Amino acid sequence: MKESTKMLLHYITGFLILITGAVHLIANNLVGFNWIKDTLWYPVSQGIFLTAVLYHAMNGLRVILVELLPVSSSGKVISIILIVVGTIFFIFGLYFLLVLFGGW
Amino acid sequence: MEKSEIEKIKFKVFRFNPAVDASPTWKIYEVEVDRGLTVLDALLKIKEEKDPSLAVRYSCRQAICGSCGMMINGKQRLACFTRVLELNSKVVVVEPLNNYLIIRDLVTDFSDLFKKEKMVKTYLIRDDVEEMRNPTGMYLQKPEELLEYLQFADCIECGLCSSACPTYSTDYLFLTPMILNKAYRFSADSRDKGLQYRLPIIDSEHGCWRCHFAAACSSVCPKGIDPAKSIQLLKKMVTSVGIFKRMRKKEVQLTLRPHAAESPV
Amino acid sequence: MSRRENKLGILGWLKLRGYTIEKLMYVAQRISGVGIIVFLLSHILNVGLVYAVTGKLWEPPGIIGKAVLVILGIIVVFHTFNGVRLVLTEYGFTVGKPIRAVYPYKMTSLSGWQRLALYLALVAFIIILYFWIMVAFNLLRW
Repeated sequence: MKESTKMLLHYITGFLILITGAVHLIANNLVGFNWIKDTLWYPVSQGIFLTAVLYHAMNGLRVILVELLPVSSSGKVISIILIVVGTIFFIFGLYFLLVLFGGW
Repeated sequence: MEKSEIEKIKFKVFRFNPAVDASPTWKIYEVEVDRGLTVLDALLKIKEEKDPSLAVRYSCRQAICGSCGMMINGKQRLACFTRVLELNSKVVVVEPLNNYLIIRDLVTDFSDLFKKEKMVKTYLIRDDVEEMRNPTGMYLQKPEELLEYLQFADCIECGLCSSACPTYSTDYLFLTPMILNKAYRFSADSRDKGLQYRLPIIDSEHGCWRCHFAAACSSVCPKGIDPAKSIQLLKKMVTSVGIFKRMRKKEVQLTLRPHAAESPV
Repeated sequence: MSRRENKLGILGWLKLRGYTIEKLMYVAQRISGVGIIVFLLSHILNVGLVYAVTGKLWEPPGIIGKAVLVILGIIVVFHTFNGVRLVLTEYGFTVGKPIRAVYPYKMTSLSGWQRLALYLALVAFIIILYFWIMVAFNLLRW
């Protein structure tokens, strides 16, 4: 993937986090809005939130690490490690979402 | 006649000669400074009167060659462009520019920047081979096309911007604001068709995307280039080339003016 | 002849004196981003291992729990609004047009729309942080 595509996705996921994150915070912390959690779209938006946040976080870490460890081959190693960590947390998060909303 | 103020200012200068010293030292010189004296004048006074072994790089002494960049009281400045009394400080600390290798005393090594400049192809790239081999006229450019890149062409390559850049301070592979500015200057030129050849190096892991708009480069630039602006415009250009193809700048028709020898008059 | 290394390294991030506010914003965005990642990973585990079983999140005891909430509010809200400003800037929308560099020089990326967006981001940060803290201390009945 080209660097400009990775960064465009970084900004797009940032925007998605803004929207779905606001839904997450409002539905979970304001008692008057707790009904949002019972709608059908809530788990879908939380799935999008999880994906977007993990991509944004792992890409952000990749950018910082690539700058701090500028050996020319380090970029690949850092990317692989972060993809693995991100996937592990994604699987955890998805499983917990299904437990919480799917009745597993 | 107005009595000009003369003050005695202490200059704390970074000294390091790799042939002799194990580690850097600081030497303090006291110089009589009057209203118009620049830091470069003071350093040359030190060289003439007190310590001839001080190594200083300078040339035009009028802020156009870009040779005398150094850290003056903790900020990147051109020594010939900085008046001592305007620093409002009894002690002026002079050090070599950050982020570059030190050759000796205040002289730094810019070879990393020159190497990156070659990688980025800082020349106009065109495909009309016949015209380039046997030119019949000039490539015309409208005033608004000139304005697209003129600000960024004024760069004197002093290196202050790259010294101030926080990314370059950790990432030695980063292309640096000076080189990215040059890359934009050529890519934005309507006469140039070579963005695709520069893309692999600009759109890479240590290219324009490692800039995060700390804007330290623009805040120290002595010639008003605003490299931070050119890097963000470069990012826009790089993204639109790949994804929003329709937003890419339209191909401009170039008209050739007949060569003077061929004109009918 | 050997050359002496003169890179500032990561301490270059802390060199803020003499530069504009944008450099401070850059450092704060990085540090807040890393802070959010630390919270994020612990929150995912918290939700799955504690909330899914007991129905309540694990919170650090007493005052530390509230302090964590406040700090989290500061870093999340700052990172969000500064991030919005950065996306607009990095795609060239607020940096201004190229001009002729005539003395005294004007850096359009440091003044003009970009600086306005920075101040707006800070104002939005203060307003939303206020609501965050109100909710965190149960002072907002909604």
